Amino acid sequence: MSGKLWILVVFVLLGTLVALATPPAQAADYTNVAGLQPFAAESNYMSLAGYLRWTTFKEQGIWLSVPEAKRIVAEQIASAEK
Amino acid sequence: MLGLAALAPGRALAAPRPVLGANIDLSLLDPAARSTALDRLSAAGVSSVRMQLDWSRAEPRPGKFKWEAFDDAVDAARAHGMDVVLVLGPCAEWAVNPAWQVPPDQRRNSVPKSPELWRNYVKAAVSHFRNRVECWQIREQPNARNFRGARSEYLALLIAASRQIRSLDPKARVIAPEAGYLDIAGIDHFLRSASARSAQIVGVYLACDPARAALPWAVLTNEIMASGGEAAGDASGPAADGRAGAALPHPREAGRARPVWVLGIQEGASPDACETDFLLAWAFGDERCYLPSDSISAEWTWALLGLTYEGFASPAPGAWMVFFSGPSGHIAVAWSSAETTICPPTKNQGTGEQESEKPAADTSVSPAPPAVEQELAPAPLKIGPRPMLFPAGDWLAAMRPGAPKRADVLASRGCADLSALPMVYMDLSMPQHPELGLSNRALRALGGGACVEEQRQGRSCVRTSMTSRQEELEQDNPWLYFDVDDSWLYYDGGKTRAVVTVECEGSYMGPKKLGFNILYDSTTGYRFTPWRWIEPGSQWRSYRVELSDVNFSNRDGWDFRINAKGSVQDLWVSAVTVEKAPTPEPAAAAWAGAPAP
Repeated sequence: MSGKLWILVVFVLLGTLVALATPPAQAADYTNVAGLQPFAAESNYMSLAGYLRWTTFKEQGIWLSVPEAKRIVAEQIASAEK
Repeated sequence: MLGLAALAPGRALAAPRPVLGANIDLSLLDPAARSTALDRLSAAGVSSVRMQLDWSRAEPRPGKFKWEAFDDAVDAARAHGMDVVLVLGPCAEWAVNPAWQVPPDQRRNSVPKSPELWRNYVKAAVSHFRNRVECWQIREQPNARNFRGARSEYLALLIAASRQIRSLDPKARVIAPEAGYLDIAGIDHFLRSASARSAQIVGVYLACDPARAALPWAVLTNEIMASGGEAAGDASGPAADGRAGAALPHPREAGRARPVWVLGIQEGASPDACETDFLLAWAFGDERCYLPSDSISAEWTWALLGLTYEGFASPAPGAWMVFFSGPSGHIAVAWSSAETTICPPTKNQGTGEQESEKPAADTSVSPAPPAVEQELAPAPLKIGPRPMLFPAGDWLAAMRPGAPKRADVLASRGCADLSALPMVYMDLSMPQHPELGLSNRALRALGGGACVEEQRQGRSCVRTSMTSRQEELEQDNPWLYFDVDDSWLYYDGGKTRAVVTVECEGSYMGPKKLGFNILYDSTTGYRFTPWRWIEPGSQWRSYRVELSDVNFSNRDGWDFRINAKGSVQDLWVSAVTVEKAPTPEPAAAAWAGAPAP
């Protein structure tokens, strides 16, 4: 394979890597789970904090810690009750 | 013959050139590299830099501040005639609450364990820089990735910082960054809250694709920012003189209208997209536009010096053209998301009053070089993502003055206007147009949305693809995403209720084994409808679900999704229909101040 072709291949691969590394537009906020019944089908039989952790992983690819998820759910419930 | 001066609306709405800013962390560069970078940016016309005042580096131990690197960076920028915007945050390592068990690589995105620690840092920073820095941003794009906390926790930081900043430097301005990419619902919600008083500037971020930005940008400029504030009807908001560091008037804090700054572009955006975004920021009357420093080049910035924005046109689907007047006449800059050829308007083309006034014929105000225009303008032009600048010539006849509005952006897409349809649907059983105004196929690459299209009892349908195995979480696809056509329903401030009808097969496993709910975008964020169990049996059944306070603005590329997680079998859906229903009076009254779409 000629040198020029190698350079072309490297550029294409680099371009592909850059494209793959570009994150999709992310959700601005966490999914609001305040209206769900915990430990029921609608929360996949999880606590609300657990369900928020799962949806955040599915949507954003990141795991919240349990204390973080609990804080966020507490705020969502407080906002819903206002 | 009439010239551009005769286009009174365009003249009235003409926006000054936004301050061109660069996002560059000067404090991390050595003096030689910093000087080189600033020389290059200065030559390209950059008059402001935005950089992080990293809490961990500024206060490595509680109460012990180290400003040297930041002092050097700020002073170097100012020596090049640039003003500096400092971004406060992210969280110092030592200020994170260990009880929150944040993973080590994410700790800096956390919330400080005590408001006092945050206030002390802000107070020290503003006291140190107040004579050199006028604008302060509170954390960088506080989305789920960058800010691992509740929305109220972010607002608490914003309010506390704003109080400190304004008490120490009443002239200072505070920037509240949005969390998404032109998340207009989030911005609108923020501006209607009491927290909005803590910010004098709204900061937005742009996704990689400029074509995606135009619609929310138009709604933000012409509807959200223009309602309830003194700037109503003036797309440019409070006056800006276009120079960094000048004494700008403070916006009226009680109103919603305030300057919009573009704070950044999503990582991975091409230099062409950055240039295009700058042109759009100009068209929408934004006060400043900060771009990645690598994307700024004198090659394109110099061509735009000394110009005044006049208007825009959309010469072909997906193509945009913006018009400027300058010392050598009228010029146009055109680009398109894909390579396309555009033809100049014929003499009887154009819109509204421009049609009868024939503005291109007058050269009394800004005499253009007619020889050049006649030679170049009438020919068809091949344009692409790279913005192309040329004498406006006959294209002026197509110009619409002022900032593009919602209807202009929708028209520019060249798609059918579906606003008169009674409903939009996806019906896979129909041989033609299985998707009319409601798309799912294009969204199957979204996380958890890879549903499978197949035949079931002689019908075409889509099936969720769920797994309950923990080790296969990434292959779990319990969601069917949907995007409602923007011409049918797009962000009306929650005035519309939608009724979604889902046609699905009954549960073969028996009662309470299969169900779903809908997660949809509302004025207060994504919200679930109550869970619905699907009756057992092999028949196809219809379920109607009402969504109140809908806010479909494609903020993550979709408007609602059907969620079957919680079922013990997969869900087969053959058709989904969305209809509009009028909103009851009380909810409408709450939005009395919002503009009509």
